[in-house]
Amino acid sequence: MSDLGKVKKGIDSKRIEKPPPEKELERTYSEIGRTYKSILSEMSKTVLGQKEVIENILIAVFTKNHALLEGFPGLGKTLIVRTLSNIMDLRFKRVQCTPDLMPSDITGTYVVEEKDGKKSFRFERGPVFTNMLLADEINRATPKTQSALLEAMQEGQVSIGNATYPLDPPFFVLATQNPIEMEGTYPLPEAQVDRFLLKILVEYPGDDEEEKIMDIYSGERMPEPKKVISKNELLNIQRLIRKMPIATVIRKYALNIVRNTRPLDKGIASEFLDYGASPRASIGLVLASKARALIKGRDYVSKKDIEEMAYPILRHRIILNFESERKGVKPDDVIKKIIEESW
Amino acid sequence: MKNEAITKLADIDKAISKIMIFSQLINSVIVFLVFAIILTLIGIDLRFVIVIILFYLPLALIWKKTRTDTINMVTNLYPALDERLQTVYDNREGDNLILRRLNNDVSRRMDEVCYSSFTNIKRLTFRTFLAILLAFVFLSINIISLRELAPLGSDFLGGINTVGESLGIRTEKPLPSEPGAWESGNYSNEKEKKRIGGETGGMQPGINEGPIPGRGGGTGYTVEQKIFGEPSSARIEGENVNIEIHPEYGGGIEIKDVGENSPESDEFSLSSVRGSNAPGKEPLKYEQIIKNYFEKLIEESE
Repeated sequence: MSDLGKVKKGIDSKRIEKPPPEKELERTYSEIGRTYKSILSEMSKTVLGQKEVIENILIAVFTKNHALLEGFPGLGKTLIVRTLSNIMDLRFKRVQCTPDLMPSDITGTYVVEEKDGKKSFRFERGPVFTNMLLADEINRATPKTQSALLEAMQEGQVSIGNATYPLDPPFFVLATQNPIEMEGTYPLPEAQVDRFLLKILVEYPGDDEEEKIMDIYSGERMPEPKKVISKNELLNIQRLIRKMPIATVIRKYALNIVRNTRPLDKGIASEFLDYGASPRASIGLVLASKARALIKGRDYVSKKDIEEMAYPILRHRIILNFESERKGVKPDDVIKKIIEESW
Repeated sequence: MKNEAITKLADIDKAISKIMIFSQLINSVIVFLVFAIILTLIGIDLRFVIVIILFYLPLALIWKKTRTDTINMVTNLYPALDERLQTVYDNREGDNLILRRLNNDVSRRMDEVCYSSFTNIKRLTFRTFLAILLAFVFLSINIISLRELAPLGSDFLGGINTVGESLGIRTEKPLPSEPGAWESGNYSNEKEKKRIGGETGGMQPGINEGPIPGRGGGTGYTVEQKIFGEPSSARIEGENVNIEIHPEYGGGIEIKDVGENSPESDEFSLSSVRGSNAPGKEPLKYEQIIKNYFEKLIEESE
């Protein structure tokens, strides 16, 4: 059977994927609070502090989306992602992005294989064929390589030549970038940035946390987190999030926030921004808020969910104008004003 | 799926509507009384108040109903229900396991909702007392004479009472604020007409025949008391005569002799003096005396 034949079979099997029985979903729903606590507990063995970062990464994972982590080197970005993949029993791959990284280094390539004296092409899958892909320092890769990730991120498939290879669900890209050392980097184009649901800022740990980090990682034994959630449970959580009800007034609030980022004749956006967020941001804001409500153990989306999720959803989707940059205004400051303006 | 939370919300909505209708009725009474007082004072027919109320009440009910947000009212009083109830209501057509659990949760929390909490007792009490006060003021204006209460006299309203007249919608009855009404102490244009003669069962129309036998005496009537004053004395042909007019005898004159030889007094009616034909009742022995008396009076006056 050729590779192409395998691909077609893969696509078909994905399309006829059966939903789990109601009882299975109910069990997952009943245990979501306990599951979330277990994840945090296991994460805290290796990652100290960074609770908000972990929560946001989980939200991205639970909503079948991707996240962009931004922070200074050495803050544990890679460690967080690796630990999470271990806890969730997911296949994990890491790509260190550099200017000479080629698209085929990510997606895979055809290799010539000789068997019984006959030569044939065989598709060698790249690191993108995994559940959780960490694209470290993504802004160091060339635009061509960066865009190789676009299809994988948006469609969950890879096209090479005439063949299309679906990616096994769940699939997430967690990319990191360094806010300093901009020399020799290729800032992600807007179209690609927009595909990341969240932009998560990784801050320095607190005093106590850093002290514990020193103790743990300078000691003899390294902590090893256990698996607490299966792949099947993760998929069930992803389904549950779509069922989360939201009030009309809350949905309208989310919409107002996103629409108010678009600079028009008046308002905060026209004062501080050149470009606002796309409808993809509206979808993402509601979806992320639903995920937050679920992991917080609520049966409904709250106004607080929308407000909390507006920052990671919008901060990479709005573009400050020259005046704002000159004054040193940060995207989060503008988002705060827009939130206040929108209720 | 029967949504229990939505059913309970509908019940609350009905209760709030009833409270709202009651509140609007009290408001209408207040409006009625305020306008009634104003129109009474400015001299406009009170029927206009009915017209005002006929417009006010339905409009107020519709306006209030459209502005009443039951969910908002419930969530303001019970913050724990806030976003939960809103979510359940907005997703009432949907059905999934999260919604079912949310419905159960909201339904349980709604059991704690008391209908009485939607009534603003303070405001309702205030409005009730205001209505009573206005009713008292309205009745006072219409019943009690305010002449004594107006230190500035009958014109203390500064001429505002002529507004109705100038608008051509003056009330038919004179108003207590009108000058004439204060002076007379009677607010009616119609003078009281005394019913006499045939109107009271007598024989001669227009003539006061006194009490009619068998018709009762009426209030204040008594034979014993001399409510017509002391008898008048007259000297007729050398004799002193006392004259009394007794209404019970149909305006008859009683003449008594004053002196030692005063003759036996008899009664005779004025009609007999004028030459009545009533047989057997004329005291003929006095007829000539009286005649002479009046002739003498005529001579003296000439």
